[in-house]
Formats: sequence, structure tokens, C-alpha cells
Amino acid sequence: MLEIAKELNNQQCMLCLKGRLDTNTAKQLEDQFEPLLKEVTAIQINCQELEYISSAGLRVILAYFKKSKASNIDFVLSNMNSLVKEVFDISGFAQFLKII
Amino acid sequence: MDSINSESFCKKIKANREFLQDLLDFIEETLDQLRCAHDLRFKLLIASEEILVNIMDYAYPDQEGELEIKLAKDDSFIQLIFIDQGRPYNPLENTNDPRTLDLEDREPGGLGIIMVKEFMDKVEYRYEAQSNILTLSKKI
Repeated sequence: MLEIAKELNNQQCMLCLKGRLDTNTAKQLEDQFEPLLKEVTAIQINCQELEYISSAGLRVILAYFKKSKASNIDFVLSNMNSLVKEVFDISGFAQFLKII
Repeated sequence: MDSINSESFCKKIKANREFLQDLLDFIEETLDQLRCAHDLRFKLLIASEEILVNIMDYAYPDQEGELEIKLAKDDSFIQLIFIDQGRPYNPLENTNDPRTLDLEDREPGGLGIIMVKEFMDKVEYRYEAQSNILTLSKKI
């Protein structure tokens, strides 16, 4: 189960994730991206209520990172709990992504 | 895992993505039953998801097949054993480490097995009686 709440303010988008970003739910997040590309200058993924992320979830984050970079969109992840952070650390993602 | 204090559980199911959530739910419920700590449960579930998806997507390219999962716990370890009768495949032989690349040069893939290796204390593979047998062990 993944819930995504979207807040849009002055071309800045915050996506708040709640639940699990895994094989079954990754597509939900993937589908949010395309429509955002043309309307925002910054995307923040707020992970405060994200309980779980597997490699399927990381792949979507990777796609966001690449597309944001190509479109000059500022891409940030925030508020992740220590276990979710560990997944970003061991995958080597943490050293490249902006995590606040 | 022969000690008197060991407990074990098992489930056999068709190796098909439609049963992924059922199996993950089974693993999660079993880990709860075994009073597994939160961070251990998190890591075991991630490792399980990676292995299950692998088996479901690649073990039986030409026909349907089954997969079996066994969970066991004793005083010092939790073990998860994944068994399938698909084509022989040792995931530990995949030595490409995508972490050597910049994020921009990364292709999707290869991450799952890294999570398994990093999050588990021991991962063993053997092929026996026409079966792939992968055993993950995590210290309690």
C-alpha cells in the first residue's frame, strides 16, 4: 500500500509518500512524474511516512533523478527514517542525491 | 537449525507475480509470530521481495512452476530458504556492482542482489535434486 499526497505551490511540488514503495506500488509514483515535468521547477519527495523501500522503489527514484536533471528541475528527498536511509546508503544512491 | 528451540514455517505457491503480495504477507505475519525485531523484519522483507521477484520473473521462462519458502528461527539466527525447480541460477555469481558507476550512468537492475547481500549476514546457494536452493541467514 502506498499513498501519495501532492502539494503544488509556485511551481514547487512536494510528494508525500505514506506506506511502502515496492514492486507492487512503484508504478504509482512513476505515473506521477510525466505530468509534473512541464509544470514545476522543483520536486521534493517527502519520506516522513515512508516505511519501506525495495530496489523497485529505488529504480523509480533513479528515473526521477535522471529526468529532473535533464529538465533542470531541482530534485530533493527529505525526512526519511533511518532504515529507509540505510537502503539509500547501501545502494550508493545517498552520495549522489540531495537528501535533507 | 536443529536446536530444541527452533521453530519453522513453510509455504509453497505458483511462481507467479500475482502471488507476490500473498507470499510477502505470509513472511511478514510469520516474522511477527516469531517476534522478530522491527529493523530485522524490514531487512528480511526487502531481501525476500528481491529474491521472490527474481524467481517469479526468471526461474521458469517457458512453463509454469512452483516456489517454496521456508522460515526457521533458533536462538541465534532467522533463516529464509527459497526453493524452485526452474533453470539453475546462482544469483551470487552476478558480480556486476552498479555502485561503481555514477548515478547518471546507472541502468535499472543489479540493485536487488546487493540489498540481499548487504542486509543479510550470510547468503548461500546450492543446486540439488534439480532445485535452486538459496538460504538467507540473519543474526538475531
